[in-house]
Amino acid sequence: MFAKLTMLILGLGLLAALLLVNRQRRYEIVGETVRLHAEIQQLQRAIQERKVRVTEATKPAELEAMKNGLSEQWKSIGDRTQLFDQLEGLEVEKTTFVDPGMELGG
Amino acid sequence: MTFENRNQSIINSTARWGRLSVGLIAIGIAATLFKVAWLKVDPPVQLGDRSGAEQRVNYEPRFRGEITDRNGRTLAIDSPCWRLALDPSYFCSHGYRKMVGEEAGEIGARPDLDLVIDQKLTLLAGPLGLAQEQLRVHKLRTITAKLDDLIGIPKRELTRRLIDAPATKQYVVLEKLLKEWQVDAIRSWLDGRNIGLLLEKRTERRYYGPESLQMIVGKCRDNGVGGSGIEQRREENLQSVRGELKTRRTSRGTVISIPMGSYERGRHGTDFTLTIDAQIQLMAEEALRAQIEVQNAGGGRCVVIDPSNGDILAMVDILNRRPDVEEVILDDPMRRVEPKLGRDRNMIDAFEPGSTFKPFIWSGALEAGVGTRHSVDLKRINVEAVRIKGRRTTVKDAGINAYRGPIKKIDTILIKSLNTGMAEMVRKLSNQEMRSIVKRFGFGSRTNCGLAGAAEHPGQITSLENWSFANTTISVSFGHEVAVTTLQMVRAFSAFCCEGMMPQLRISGHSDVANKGGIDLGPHLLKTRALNPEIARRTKNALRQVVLRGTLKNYGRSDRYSMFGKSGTADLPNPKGGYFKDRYTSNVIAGAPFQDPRIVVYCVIDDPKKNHYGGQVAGPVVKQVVDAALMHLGVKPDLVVEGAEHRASLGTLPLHPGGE
Repeated sequence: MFAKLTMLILGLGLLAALLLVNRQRRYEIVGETVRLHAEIQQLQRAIQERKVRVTEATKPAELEAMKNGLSEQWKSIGDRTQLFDQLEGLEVEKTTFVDPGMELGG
Repeated sequence: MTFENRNQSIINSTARWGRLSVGLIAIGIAATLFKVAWLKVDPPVQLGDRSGAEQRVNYEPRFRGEITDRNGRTLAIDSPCWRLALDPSYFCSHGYRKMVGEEAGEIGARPDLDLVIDQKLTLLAGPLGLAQEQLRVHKLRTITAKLDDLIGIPKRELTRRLIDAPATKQYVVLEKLLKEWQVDAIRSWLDGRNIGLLLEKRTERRYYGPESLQMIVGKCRDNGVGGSGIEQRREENLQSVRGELKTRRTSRGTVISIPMGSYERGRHGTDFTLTIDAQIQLMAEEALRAQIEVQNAGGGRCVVIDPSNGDILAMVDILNRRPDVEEVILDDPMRRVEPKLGRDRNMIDAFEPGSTFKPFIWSGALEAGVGTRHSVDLKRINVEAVRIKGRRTTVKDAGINAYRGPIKKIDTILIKSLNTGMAEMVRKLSNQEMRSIVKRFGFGSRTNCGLAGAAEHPGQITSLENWSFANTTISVSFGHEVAVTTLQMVRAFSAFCCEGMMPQLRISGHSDVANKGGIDLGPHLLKTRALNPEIARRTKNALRQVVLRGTLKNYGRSDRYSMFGKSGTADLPNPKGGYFKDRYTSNVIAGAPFQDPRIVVYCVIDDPKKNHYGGQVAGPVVKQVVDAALMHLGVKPDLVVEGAEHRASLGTLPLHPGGE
């Protein structure tokens, strides 16, 4: 009889322990859920901040200033004043190109 | 019964009772263990408050929808920011703050007064209370000095805000918008301590784009609800719904559970795209502003639309108050207080257009049979002022050099903008026919473009009962006795660009928006017929001649794009009755390019002082906007001008694409 009672108590104790383990795991899952929720919120906030920064950085005045600050090599051809200055100074060189039509007497 | 038997019976009985007791105790322990486990695993809600656990709510920040122009350029966006608040009761009670405020102006500003305050406090709270308050005040001085040091808000200003805060306020806002570096500095200093400082997540609505767009985009109130313009009209689309997550936590902050149904999902606002092109808006604004200054005008309006689909590309309204002029243009005081709350006169204010109204009546009259079924005696026109029986004033032609003939074709009436010719043309039309022409072009009804709603002015047309030939028909034929809005004018003019069809104007519902999904497309693309295609083409040809040979040839003619249009100069109504003799509303409407019109531009300049003829005053603005807008839209110039080598390679289209 004593053995049966002991088994019963141990069984119940085990059940209670399992329930407490289950509870602990639930706490951990809930805690993780809340942490992830906060992280998602933080990320969404960060995304919105980036959007605002992109808007600020792509204002026409900003783009114009950026364009003016570019070094010569990054400018579009139309804006390369130095390039045209250089081209104007170049002399026409003799070419070694032979027109095939001329060689054939055409 | 023997002694042994009796003993045995007692022993058996004791053992039975013993087993029963042990069994009961075991069941009791088991039940207790089960109950404890049950309470730990799933505690009843009723016990929530007694278990030491507390409920905490985590709010999900949600952002109001972004407003962009047709090219995706941001015009309004929510920016995440932080607000710094302080719990004053953590430092000193309201009574002390009030006394300090009355006596010294601020805490610690005049140490000599501390004695007086201390005496008062001793009377009120006793020596222990005084010591407590002094400790708190010391803490407050420390924190204000520290914040001054950390984020640069002056110490005096901080203390002043604390003193002024009413007792009912749990938190006093110290700074509405903190920058990121300020937040980082405060956080690193706090290091998780609770000293009554609160950093709260907030959003700030930021606006971009040209100044003249402010009235269209509108304003968002402090509570996040749209207060004017698109922000108000599209509140349903733009508004966000804040979500929340309720959790139960121990006093140490460990999350215990998320009760059933405690999560409410939030929703970001839906982004909203306008048909406005911010760049064209800026060009129109700059051109109009410059001309208003040159002409010393009381204001001006400029509208640009795409006639093929009714998209409003730009809508500018500028008011200019002149100190030396007695203004008769209706003022807009709200605009001076807050430009976003201004009244957009393009939709709200109606005016008499003058000769720019002639193309509608001219084309309507042609369609009604004038010139075919009803002949017009061209010889009668323009020889002298026309007297109409029952009319107070004679009809005569105006202009810098009023045209004096010859008139061989009915088109000349429109090309040379002849009031006498218009009067002859409408002579055969009944009142009903004349009124139906005006109605057919949409005058007298709102454009319902999706911005002003019921506040939009429908224009003003005389009722049929009050309509008379002598005064109404004749006056309306050259744009008087009829009130229109700029939006109505561009909508009606689109009929000449689209083979007689008028589009439904819209401020939203750009075709690309459909791909984003979930966005209210606004009014669907609707077109209504105002004219038959042949008459529309004929009117367009005549309007091209206006630019080449008529009132727009000097000031409103582009050398890149073939424009067609009409100018108008209307007398400005006098608020005391009648019209001013020397004050005008100058306006020009034009479309371009001729073959495939991509834009319609309408400019109205109110009460110019330097010049007053429509072509001279508003013509340069329209020309400038046509050139700039079409270049911006990537439309190839269709005119070749002699000597302009860079344009020669662009094509060989004739100078007069209308076949002139």
